[in-house]
Amino acid sequence: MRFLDAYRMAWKLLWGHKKMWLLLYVCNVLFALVAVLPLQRFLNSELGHSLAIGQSLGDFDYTFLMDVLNEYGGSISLILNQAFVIVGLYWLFSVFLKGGILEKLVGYLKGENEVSFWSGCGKYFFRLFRLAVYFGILQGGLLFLMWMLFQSISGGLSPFELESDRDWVNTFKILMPIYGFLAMVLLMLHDYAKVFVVKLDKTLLFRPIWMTFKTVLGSFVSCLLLYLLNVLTFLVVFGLYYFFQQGMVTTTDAFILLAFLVGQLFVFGRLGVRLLNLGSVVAWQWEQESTKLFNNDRVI
Amino acid sequence: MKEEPFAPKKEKSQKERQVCIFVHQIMRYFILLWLMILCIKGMAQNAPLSPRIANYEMDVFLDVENKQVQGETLLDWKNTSTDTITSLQFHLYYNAFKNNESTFLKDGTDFPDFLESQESACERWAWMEVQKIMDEQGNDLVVNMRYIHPDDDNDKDETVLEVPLTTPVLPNQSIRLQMDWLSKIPNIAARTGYNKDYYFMAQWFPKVGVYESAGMRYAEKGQWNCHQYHSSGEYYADFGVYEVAINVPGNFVVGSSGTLINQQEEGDRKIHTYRVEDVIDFTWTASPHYVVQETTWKHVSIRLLTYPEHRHFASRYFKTIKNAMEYLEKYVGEYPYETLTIVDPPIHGLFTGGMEYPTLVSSLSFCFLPVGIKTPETLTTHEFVHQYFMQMLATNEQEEPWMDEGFTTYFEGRILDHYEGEKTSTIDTWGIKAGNVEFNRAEFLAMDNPKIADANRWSWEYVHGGYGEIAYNKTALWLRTLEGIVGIETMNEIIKTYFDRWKFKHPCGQDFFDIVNEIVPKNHGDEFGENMDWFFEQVFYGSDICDYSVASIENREVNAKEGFMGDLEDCVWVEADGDDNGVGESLFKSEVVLYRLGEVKLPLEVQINFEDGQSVLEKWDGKARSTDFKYVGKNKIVSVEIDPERKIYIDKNFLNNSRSVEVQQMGIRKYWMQVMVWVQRLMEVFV
Ligand SMILES: [Zn+2]
Repeated sequence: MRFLDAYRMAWKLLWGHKKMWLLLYVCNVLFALVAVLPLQRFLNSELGHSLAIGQSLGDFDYTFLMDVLNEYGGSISLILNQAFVIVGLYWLFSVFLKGGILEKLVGYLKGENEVSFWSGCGKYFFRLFRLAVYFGILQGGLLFLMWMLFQSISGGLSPFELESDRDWVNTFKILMPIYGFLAMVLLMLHDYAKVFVVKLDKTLLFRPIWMTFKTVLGSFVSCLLLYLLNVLTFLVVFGLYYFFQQGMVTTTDAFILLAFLVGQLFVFGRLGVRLLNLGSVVAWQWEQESTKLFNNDRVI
Repeated sequence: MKEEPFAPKKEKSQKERQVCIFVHQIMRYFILLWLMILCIKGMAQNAPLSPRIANYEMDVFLDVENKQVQGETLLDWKNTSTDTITSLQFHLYYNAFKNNESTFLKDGTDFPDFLESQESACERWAWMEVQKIMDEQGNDLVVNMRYIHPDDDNDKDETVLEVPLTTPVLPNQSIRLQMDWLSKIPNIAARTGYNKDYYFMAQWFPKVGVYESAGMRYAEKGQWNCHQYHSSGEYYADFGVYEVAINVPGNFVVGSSGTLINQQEEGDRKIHTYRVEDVIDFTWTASPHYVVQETTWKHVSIRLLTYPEHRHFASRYFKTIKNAMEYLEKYVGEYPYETLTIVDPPIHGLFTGGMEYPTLVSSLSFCFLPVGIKTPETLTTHEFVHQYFMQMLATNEQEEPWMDEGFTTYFEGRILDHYEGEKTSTIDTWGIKAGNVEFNRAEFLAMDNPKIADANRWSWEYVHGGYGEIAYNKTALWLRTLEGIVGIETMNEIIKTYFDRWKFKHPCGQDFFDIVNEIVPKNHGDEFGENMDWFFEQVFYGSDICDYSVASIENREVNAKEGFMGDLEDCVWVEADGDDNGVGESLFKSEVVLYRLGEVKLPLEVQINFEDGQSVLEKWDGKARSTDFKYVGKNKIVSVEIDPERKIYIDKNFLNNSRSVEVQQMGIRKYWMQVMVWVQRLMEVFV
C-alpha cells in the first residue's frame, strides 16, 4: 500500500514545514488584502454613512446590491478588475513559490536541510510557468473536446432544434463524470510533472513530462488512489467549512468576525491540503525509488 | 308520527280545515318564491357577462403536412354603436410574416432572422388568405376587400383587411358572414406557430377589429380601431362567444381556450369542439406528446399540458395558479370562467411560453430548473393576472400597453411576494435571493436611460427602447408608489371599483385616473389635493426620475443658559429655549438637510433618530429642491431616514435615502471581509 505510506509521509512533510505553510497563508492574505482594500475604501467613503449598508446585513439583499451597481457600477467594475489583476499576479507568484516548496520537500526527503527556499523559487519559476501553460492548454483542449462532444451528443445548443431539454441533462450527466475524471487525471499528471521538473533539474521540459507520463501511467491505480485520498482530504476541509459557515447570520459584529475567521481557517486548511498534495507526490516518488532500490516487485 | 294505513278517514273540523288551507297557501307561496328564485338564478347564470359583439363559430382543419390551417368561420357581428357600419375591418396577423416589408418585420429590431434563411423559407414564412366572404344575402364580399394601412403608408403590409359591406349594418343590428380562409402557420414567431410536431395557435384566424363609437375611449367620432401588426405591442378585440371545432390528427392532444363540449373521431383524425363565452380571443395548441394533468379550484377546472419531461412541474403550477386565483378573487374580483388551461411548451417551442390568452396561459420551464428559480411561478402568475387586466378589463394593448402589462406586473408582485416571500419570490437559490417587486424595480432602474420615454404612448412608439421597462416595470413601480401614498386599503378599493365598473368593457387610462380621483378624495379629503392628477402628470405623462437624499446632519453643542440680546434698549439677557432645570447643561442644536435630486416631487415621511433611541416622523411635501429640519435638545441626531417604510418605491436610489452620523463600520466590515474570503478562495482555485 505505497500510496498510503506516501500519504502518511505527506502529513509528516506538512508538519515539518509549518513555517512554509504559514508563509503561503501570509502571502495569500497579503494579496487578498491588496485586492480588497479599494473596496473597503470605497464602502467607507461612498456608503459608510448610509443606513442601507447596515440594514443589508444578514441575508442577501438584492435591492441594496442593485442600487450599488446602478449608482456605482463604474467604481465597482474598476475594483473588480483590479482584484482580478491581483488574482492573476497571485497565480504567477504561487507558481514562483512552488519551485521553493518542491525544492524544500525534495531536499527534506533527501536529508538536505540547507536547501534555500527562495533560490528554488527563482530557479524553477520559468520552467514551472511553462509547465503550467502546457497543462493549461491541455485542460483547455479537454474542455473544448467535451464541449464539442456535448453538442454532438445532445443535438446541439439551439433549443429550437432540440427534441427535449432532457437531452441536455442526460448528455451532461454522461459527460460530466468523464470530464471530471479526465480533468482530475490531468491535474494529477501536472503535480507529478512539477516534482519531476525539480528532481530532474532539466531546462527543457520534455524529459520531466515524459517521466511523468511513464511513471504515472505505469502505476496508475496507486497514483489515482493517492490523488483521491488528497481530494477526500480537501472535501473534509471544505465540508467542515461549509458546516460552520452555514446558518451563520452575519448581523452582529461577533458573527461577522467569526465568519471571517472560519473563512481564514478554510483558506489556511486549503493551503495545507495543497502542500499535502505536493508532499504526497514527492513522498510517493521517494517511496517508489526506495522500493526499486530494495525490491523490484511492483506494489500499489 | 306514522299514519295507520287502513284507519277510516275522519271528517275534518272547520278549524282543522282553516289551518289546512292556511298551510296550503303558505306552501304555495313558498313554492312560488322558490320557483322565482330559481328563475332569477337561471337568468343570472345565462345572462351574458359581456356585450358579445364578435361571435365566432369555426371549423378548422390542421394540416400537419403543409403546416396550414384551413378554416371556415361563421361570424356574427353586432353593431352596438349608433352609427351605420358600411365595412368591417379584420386583423390578419399571420400576414406579418408574409414578406420582409411588413410593418412588423420592418420595425422589429430584435426579431429572429429566420425569415432570411433561404433553404427553409417555405417552411418558415406564414400568411393568411381570406378565400371567401359571403353575407346572408349571398353577396360575395371578397371582390371589394382590400388591405389597408391605418398606422403607416406601408402598402406591403397586409395585416389589416377592410371588407366593404353590400348591406350596411344598422345600429343594434347584426351581420352574419360566412368566411373561408387558409393560414400558413409560421415556424414559431411572435409566440405563435409550430416547431416539429408542436403547434401553438395564437392570432391564427381572421379576427374582426373593434368599432369604437364616439365617446368610447378616446374616439371623437365613430371609427374602427384595427391597427396593423407591430413587433412591439399586443392586441385589442371585442367580446364574444367562440365555438371552435378543431380537426387534428387522432394522436394529437389538444388544449384550448374554453370548455371541451364535444369530441368526435373521423377516420384517423379527431375533432375537438371547444366553447367559451364572453372572451376577446381564442387560442389553442396541439401536439402528440402532451401529458395532461388536472385539478380544480372552486368552480374552475384547471388543466395543465406539459411534455413528459416537464410533468413534475405540475405541483408548482397548480400551487401557483391556485394562489393567484385566491388572491385575485379577494382583491380584484371573481374569475367567472369554468376552465383554465396552462401550457408548458417543450424546449423547441420556447418562444410560445409566457403569454396570455382568454382562459389559456402559457408558461415556461426547463427540466433542470431548480426550485429556487421561480420562472414557472412568475410566468404563470403574470399570465393569469392578465385574465383580469387584458381579458376581462379588455384594454387596448396596442395603444395603452401599460394598462395590461403594468397592472399585471403590479399584481404579479403583490401575489408572488405574498405567497413566496418578499425577498425570495423570484430567486431563492445558492444563497442568492430576490423578491419579485424588487426585481421589477431593478429592471427599470438598470436601464441605460430610465427617462427614455413617458408611459403615455402606443407600444410601437418606444422607438429607441423602453417598452418593457416603462409599460411593465415603471407602471408597476408607480402603482406601488400610489399604494404607498394613499395606503393599501384605498388602493384595494380603487382596483375593485375599477374592475367592477369596467369589467367586460374597454376601459382607457383616463377611466382609471378618474376612479383614483374619485376614491382618494373620498377617503382622504384634501390630504393629497383636489385630485391625484399631479401624481399622474409626473409618473405617467412625465419621464422624470424620483430621487431624494439626506444631504447632511449637523449637531452643534450650545449652552443651555446661553442667551441673546432680547431688548436693545435695556440690554437684558433672555433665556434660551430649553429645560429650566438643565442649568449649565449642554444642549444640541441639530439640523438635517434633505435634497430633492430628481425632478419628480412626491410627499415623503422622514424619520429622525436621536441618540436616546427616540424618533420623530416628519412630513415633507417634497416639492422644494432642499429642505431642513431643526431641533434643539439634549440628544444629538444619530441618523435620518427618508421614507423609512419605502412607500415611495419609485425612488431611484435607496442608498442616499438615509444617513448616519457615525460610519456604519459593521456593514462595511461585513462586505469587505466577505469579499476578501471570496478573493482568497478564488486565488486558490487556479493555483
Ligand atoms: Zn404580460
